[in-house]
Amino acid sequence: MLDALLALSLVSMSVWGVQQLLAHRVQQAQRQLHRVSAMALLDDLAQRIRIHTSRFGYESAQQLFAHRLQPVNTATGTALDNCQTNSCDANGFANWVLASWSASAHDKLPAAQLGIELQGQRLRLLVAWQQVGGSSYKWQAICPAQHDCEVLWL
Amino acid sequence: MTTAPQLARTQHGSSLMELMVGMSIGLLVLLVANSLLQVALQQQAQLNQRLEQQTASRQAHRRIQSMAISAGQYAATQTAPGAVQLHAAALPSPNTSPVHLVLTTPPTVSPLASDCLDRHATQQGFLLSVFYVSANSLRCNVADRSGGQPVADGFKAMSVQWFVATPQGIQVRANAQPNPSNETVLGHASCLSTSNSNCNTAVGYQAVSWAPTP
Repeated sequence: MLDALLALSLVSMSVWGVQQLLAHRVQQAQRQLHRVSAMALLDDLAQRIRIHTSRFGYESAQQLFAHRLQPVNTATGTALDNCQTNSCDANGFANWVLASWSASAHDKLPAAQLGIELQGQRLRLLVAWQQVGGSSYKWQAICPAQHDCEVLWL
Repeated sequence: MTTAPQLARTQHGSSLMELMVGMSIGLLVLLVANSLLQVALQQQAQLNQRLEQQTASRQAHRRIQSMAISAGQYAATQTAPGAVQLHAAALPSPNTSPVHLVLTTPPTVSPLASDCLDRHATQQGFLLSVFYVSANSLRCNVADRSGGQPVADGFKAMSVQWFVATPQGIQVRANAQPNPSNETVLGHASCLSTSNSNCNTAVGYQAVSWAPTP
């Protein structure tokens, strides 16, 4: 009986080891997926801000996009439809971009923290998502604790 | 000397009951381990599939972006707004897609200018790149007969939004068609859907600005 129990515990330990390896690989794949999604989101926002800039100028983009994610974080139908039925001015287009981008970010990275800040003369775009052991940009104190981040300067 | 009855009394092997209990516990452990492994493998397969989709999407959008930037830089250097003929090109045949993205670039825009298949064939003096989704792939038609080749796989529908500069500001349109007298195209956003349904108006679009980098 003792022999059988010993053999069983060895088998259990091996299975547990394999399970840990698989869990680690799943976590790695998940982390990579989050990173690719965040990069695509940042690239998309940067391009939309550049479209705004080419029509209304860089100063307008700095004023209208920095620190303005929270007030327009709800992607309502009216906010999204505005620029499709009629032309939008600088403020309207910035609102439309932020609302549609927030909706897109919420779809791809549901619990992500988003941020657009003016740092000197440049806009800093940030996407942060919760990640156990996450430490990207820790040295710059940009990323919240236990989060992974992607940053794009514009 | 040990007799046969004495030997039988001194042996301490497993009884049938002990063997059955041991095997049952072992089987239970293996069943639990197997189900856990199945779940982990399923999760990993799903993640890998999503990662492949994301990578294909990124590759496809990059291809479209590089063509759009070539066309946009040409448009930005023209004195007449809307100089790029967006919809005056041959459409994919025979499987004409309802949504297609036509980008034309003159070969003179850059010494490295080419169409979406890295060729240099021209039609009416322009390099032509017609992107469309057909038979589960993003495909591209060019000016010569080498078109219709898949650029990236796994897509079932495509949508395009155009950012048009108007005198009042910016309008987002499903069809570019800028008024040549006072409108110009600033960029576009494309969405490649992996399901048969079209893209949501809010999510899934990847934008590209046509303006040259300042």
